[in-house]
Amino acid sequence: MGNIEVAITNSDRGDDRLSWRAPVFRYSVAISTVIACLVLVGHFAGIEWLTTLYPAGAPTSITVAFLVLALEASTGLAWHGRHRPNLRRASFVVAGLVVAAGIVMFAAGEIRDLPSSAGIPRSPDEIAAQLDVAAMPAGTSPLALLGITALGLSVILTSKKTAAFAQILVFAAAAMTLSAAVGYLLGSSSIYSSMPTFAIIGFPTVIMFFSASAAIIAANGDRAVTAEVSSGLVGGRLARRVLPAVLIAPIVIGWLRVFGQNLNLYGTAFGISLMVTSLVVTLGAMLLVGTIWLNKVDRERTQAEAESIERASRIADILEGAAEGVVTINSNGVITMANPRAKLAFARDDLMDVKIKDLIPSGLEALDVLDGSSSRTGFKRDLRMVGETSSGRLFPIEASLSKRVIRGETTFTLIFRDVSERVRAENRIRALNERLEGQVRRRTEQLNRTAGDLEAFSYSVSHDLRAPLRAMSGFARIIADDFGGDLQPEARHYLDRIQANAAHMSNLIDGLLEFSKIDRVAASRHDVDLARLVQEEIELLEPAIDGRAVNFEVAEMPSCNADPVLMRRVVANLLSNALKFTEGCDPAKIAIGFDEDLAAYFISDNGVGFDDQRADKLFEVFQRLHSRDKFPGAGIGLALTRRIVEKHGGSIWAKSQPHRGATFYFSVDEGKPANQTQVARAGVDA
Amino acid sequence: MSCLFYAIEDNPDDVIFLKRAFDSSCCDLKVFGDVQAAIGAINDPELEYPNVLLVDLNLPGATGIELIKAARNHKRTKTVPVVVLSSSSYQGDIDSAYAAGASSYVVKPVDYAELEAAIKTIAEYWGTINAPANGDAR
Repeated sequence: MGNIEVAITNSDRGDDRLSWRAPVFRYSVAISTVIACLVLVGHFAGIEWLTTLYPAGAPTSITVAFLVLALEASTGLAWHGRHRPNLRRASFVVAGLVVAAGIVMFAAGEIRDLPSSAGIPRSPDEIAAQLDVAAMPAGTSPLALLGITALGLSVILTSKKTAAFAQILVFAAAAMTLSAAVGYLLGSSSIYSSMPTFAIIGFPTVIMFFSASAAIIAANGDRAVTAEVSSGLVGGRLARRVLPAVLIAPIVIGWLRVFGQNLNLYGTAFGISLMVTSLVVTLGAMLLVGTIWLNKVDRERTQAEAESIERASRIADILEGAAEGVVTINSNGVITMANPRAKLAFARDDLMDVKIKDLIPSGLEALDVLDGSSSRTGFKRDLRMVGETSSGRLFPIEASLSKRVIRGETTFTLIFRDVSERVRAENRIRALNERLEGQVRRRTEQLNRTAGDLEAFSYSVSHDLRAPLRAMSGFARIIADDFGGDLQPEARHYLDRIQANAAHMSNLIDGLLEFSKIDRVAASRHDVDLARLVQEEIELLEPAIDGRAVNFEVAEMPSCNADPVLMRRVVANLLSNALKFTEGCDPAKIAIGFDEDLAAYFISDNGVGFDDQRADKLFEVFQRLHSRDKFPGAGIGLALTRRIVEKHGGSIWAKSQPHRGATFYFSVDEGKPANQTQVARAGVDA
Repeated sequence: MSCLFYAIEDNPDDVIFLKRAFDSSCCDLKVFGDVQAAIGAINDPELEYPNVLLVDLNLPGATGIELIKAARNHKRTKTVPVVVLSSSSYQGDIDSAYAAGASSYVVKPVDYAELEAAIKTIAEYWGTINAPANGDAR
């Protein structure tokens, strides 16, 4: 990933260099336009120095000033017409006019008369004549006309294809101007002494031409030569470092030479050799500096390349050993890279140039989505696909897909995993689950059937047992009624015993039947006012109290959410229990209330109580802690009560000591089913 | 006119109890051990028509419910009251007995004395108090 980031930054750096163009363009156009205007003012107002701008320099002609203004207009139109064809066409027209004017004037001889010798003035008179500004040949410099024609042409050629020609023309024009410029730089006294007259151009012209050149270069600086120079590449960076030195060093050296010669330090020949030597030394030094700098850049680059190769090989190692298949795909859907795992997954020796759709017949919608998006990057994960091996076997794939556009090239990276094993395992688990569910269903059916059987069983037991029971008691009764008079008292007593036992057995059967019914009754949930319920049950106990002295203490207690019918049974059972085991207590005390700490209702009595050790027996069917002779009962009541309480998700327990009364607690868990801890609690507390 | 009960009861003990209870009433009782015997008697023109049918539900072979249905479909017993006397207190049995056309349903009390009293009450009510439908309408 590091490589890619670097690449993007490098390619972007070139664009940043464009920022120099706008200011250069603006200032250049401004400078040449202002100077052209000054020259025109000079000419029309008769202010001579405005036309020369340099002491004892040649004047710039009106023609040149006008042509420069026109040139700047065309350059401005070209700059603003980069994206507007109309402006661009106007620019062409104006530049074409400039070029045409240049050529026509050149041909029409509207130029300064060429001296007959056409060479360097030799005699002191000639020199003196040349130095006399007033005696300057009239008209326009041919060099200036040539330059302005070249610049006009370059504006016309400012297009992508011809940019190189345009720039060469600009450089040529600049170079032509350079000689005159150098002349001005080296000192006016020697300008005309060493120049052919055709080469003489005014100082304003020099500046205007340089500015105009700069403006044209700026206008198409993103092309051809200037593009290279302004690029972020090594060549461009070197050029930008060296260019000022290349321009400035010879001029400085030349000026020094002339300066020295003017001071009569040395003659012409030695001056030239001194200059050449200086140039060689300076250029050699620049070359050396350039070399060192280039080597440094090269070393850094080599280092970076080595690092990038190392990084790439590390990534290659990772790809080589990865447990996931990794392939890269180009925008045509063709594989450009595949790691060994990918080849293994598709059972192919080579995946290069294979179409991804041939390998993954379904699930590649994400690829199309990413391909269709305009974003340069994209990522999708947890994709489900189906792969196909060379032998045609299909296998499930889980994959992630990323997209990246580098230098206009779209690359997709598909990282995938063959999830056959997992899918198989999932299928196995599903099959197992289904089997288990089937088993549960069968067991439930069995259980339901068993419950049904049990119901039928208890039903038939209760009824089939009753018939013989009734017969036994019936016949005992008939014997007693019909033949009682003939029987011994002992025999009559035995008949009574038969009937009493039959009645007891009938009670047992009733209890069993009721007990077995409880589980089948669905408990409804209502708000039950337990205090009122207790009061009502106490009133119903009146016959059982049978004139005994019994004190009931009913405390305030919260209502509970339970089945009213079943709760009535609980209360009735516990009350009659308390009443039964307080027989002989005078008075019997029975208290009913709610224990906040235990969050349980309680019914306590001052009866015979029982041994705490055996409390757990209390709530089992037919278990009793007292003999039936003393306290009659089927031994069903408390078992039934526990069933009901547990059915409400509550628990019941009892505390007692022999002859010191007993307290029964029960709780109701509102709206929750019975759970193990509560059932266990019944055992622990009891 | 004394009232004639046809009782269909297979339990010999209960037959004895039935007879003992009817002995002290003004009604006559004819007992059949199974449904076929009872239907045979109803079909027999020689025999006197029953005024009341007293049916147990749990019978060998065809059940008491089937007997009720047969009696309701038989022109001679179509309007005869059918009293079910069964040890079953199961609501399903009670409902299907009424659905089949029973006129009354009495659960056999477990206690003998209560059973005796119940039979006597049935005999008294259906035999003397209850007004039967016109025999000619049969």
